[in-house]
Amino acid sequence: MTGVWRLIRLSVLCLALILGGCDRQRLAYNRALALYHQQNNDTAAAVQFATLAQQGYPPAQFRLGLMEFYGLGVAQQPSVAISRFQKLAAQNHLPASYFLAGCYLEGVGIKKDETAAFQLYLQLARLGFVPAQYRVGLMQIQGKGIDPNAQQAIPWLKKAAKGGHHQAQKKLISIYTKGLLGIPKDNSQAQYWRHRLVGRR
Amino acid sequence: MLRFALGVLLLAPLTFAFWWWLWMDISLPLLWRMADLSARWLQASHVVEIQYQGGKYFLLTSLEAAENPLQIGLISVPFQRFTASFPLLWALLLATPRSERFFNMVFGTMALFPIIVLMVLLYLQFQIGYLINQQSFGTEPILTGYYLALPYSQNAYYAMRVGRNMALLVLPMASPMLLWMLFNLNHFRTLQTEQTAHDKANTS
Repeated sequence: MTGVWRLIRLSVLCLALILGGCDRQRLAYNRALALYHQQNNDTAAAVQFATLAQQGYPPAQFRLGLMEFYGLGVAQQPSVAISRFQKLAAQNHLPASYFLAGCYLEGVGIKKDETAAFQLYLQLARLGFVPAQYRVGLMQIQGKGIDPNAQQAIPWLKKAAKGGHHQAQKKLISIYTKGLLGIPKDNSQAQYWRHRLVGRR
Repeated sequence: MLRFALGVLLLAPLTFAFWWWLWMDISLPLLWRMADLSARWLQASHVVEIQYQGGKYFLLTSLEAAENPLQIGLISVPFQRFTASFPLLWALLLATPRSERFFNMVFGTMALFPIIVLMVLLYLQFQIGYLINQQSFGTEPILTGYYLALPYSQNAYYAMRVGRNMALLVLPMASPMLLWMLFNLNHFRTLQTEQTAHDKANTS
């Protein structure tokens, strides 16, 4: 009987720890996200995201920024959204950094700045974010935001390709098959990435 | 033993039919609620909720798609395949002679619910990891779109793959058998004592 009571006490303690340790802001954020995606209630979701954003919760700030950027549930104000993303990017918030890099690259909502885009992508690539690794490799090949350098681009493309990025795998196949960008033809490399692309390795 | 084996063979089609035609509809809403609540509390960093849409269950994640962050990741939740443990347990319990069948059936069925929720959570954790890491595994389809999250380490992803295999391949079979053994522990102890006595008699 003592064993049973001990087990009950332990279960209650575990439950209290789980509930107490839960991120209340995250739960409120998830509720707002469900409101937005399930009920398509943009306005109500935007109000909830704004409340959480005021409390300094980064995912809600990013979401609110997106809604401001596209004018969903709130008035469209890309410049406000961009400044929100810039603040978040300064805090190393991955989604905001990646989105902001895309804005800089395309010049959407902000003046086109390929160097700023490259720097943001490079920052994310170093953290191990695969799509950013591909972007860094591609920009180094195209000479966007940095001087063209195929030798430096290949390692980034390989990192992205190893992370399963299909575009990077296709790019490497084409480079090694045709011997592009001053890289000599290498059939074994091309074959290797072809196998990776179809998921055999 | 032969009687038990024959009993399982005869009863299994009946219990599976009961599960397929009746029990699935009864148990799925309860399992859905339990799994939804558990996933929302325990995997709050990526789980928004488990939804029911058009006869199917989906996990709504908070993972934003890299190329369109307004879109978030959806994962299909195959609750049905996890509930196959129920008929297996019932066949085993009903075929066991000299046992408290009613008590075992009720408590066994109740005990399976949290175990199935655990299977669902393990499966969902793998699916979240798969969505983030995008590394093909087993029969899972190759994904093409990335989500805005840093990939899990290889060790963590490996653990998730083990969890997925446990949830899909091991636990649905092993959990009813373990429960059945637990309910018939005394019978197994008797068998063991008899075997030991038999071995001793043989050696002397």
